[in-house]
Amino acid sequence: MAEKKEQLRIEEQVRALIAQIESIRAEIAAIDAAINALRQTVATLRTLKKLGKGKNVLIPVGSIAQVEMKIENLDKVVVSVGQNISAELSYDEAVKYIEDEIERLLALRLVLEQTIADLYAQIDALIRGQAQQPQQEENK
Amino acid sequence: MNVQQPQGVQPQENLLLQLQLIRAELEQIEKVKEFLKKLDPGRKIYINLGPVMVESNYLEAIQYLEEKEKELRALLLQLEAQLSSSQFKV
Repeated sequence: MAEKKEQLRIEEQVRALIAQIESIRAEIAAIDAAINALRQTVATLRTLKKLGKGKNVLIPVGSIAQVEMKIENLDKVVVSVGQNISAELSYDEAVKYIEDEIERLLALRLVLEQTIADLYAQIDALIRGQAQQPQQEENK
Repeated sequence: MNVQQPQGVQPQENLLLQLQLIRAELEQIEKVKEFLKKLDPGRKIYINLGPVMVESNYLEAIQYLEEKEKELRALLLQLEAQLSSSQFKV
């Protein structure tokens, strides 16, 4: 009876740990999407810088229309810095800011991956502990 | 971030999560304020109002952030009080 209770308790703990792992995986997926978007932004800025002043670009207006505009210069870039605030930065400052943000997200991603590894280790320990118990019962 | 106003007593876990989110947002507000302080004076700053971004300046942006901060701190106190009272009931 006590053994069955213990088994149920362990199963519950394992389920809770698995739920945590799934939640962290979802966070990692969101971080990956954010990193990809930021990398795309840097790539776009670099390409626009290369194309140079005076070139025409198509700017999206809503989801289905685009308007042709001329790039005056790419010396200044307006970057969102959080909390609905955007600031005008020089081109180099903007690229650096975005690259720093990518680094920060990569570091966070690493921490989350480590957390997942730790949680798997906990699950493993719980399952091994449970597996040892029936063996100990047989040896008695 | 849209934090729901608490209505009546909420389950404890929900409260803890809301508190965590509010603290994270307050931390971000501090970060943005520090970033703006380091910018050269006269730099253009914009406030995102949803469909439009309005040109602003350092003082207005700081004021905007401080108003947000004030609201969030009031909400934080409210939720912390709710959490304490729910812990006593358990």
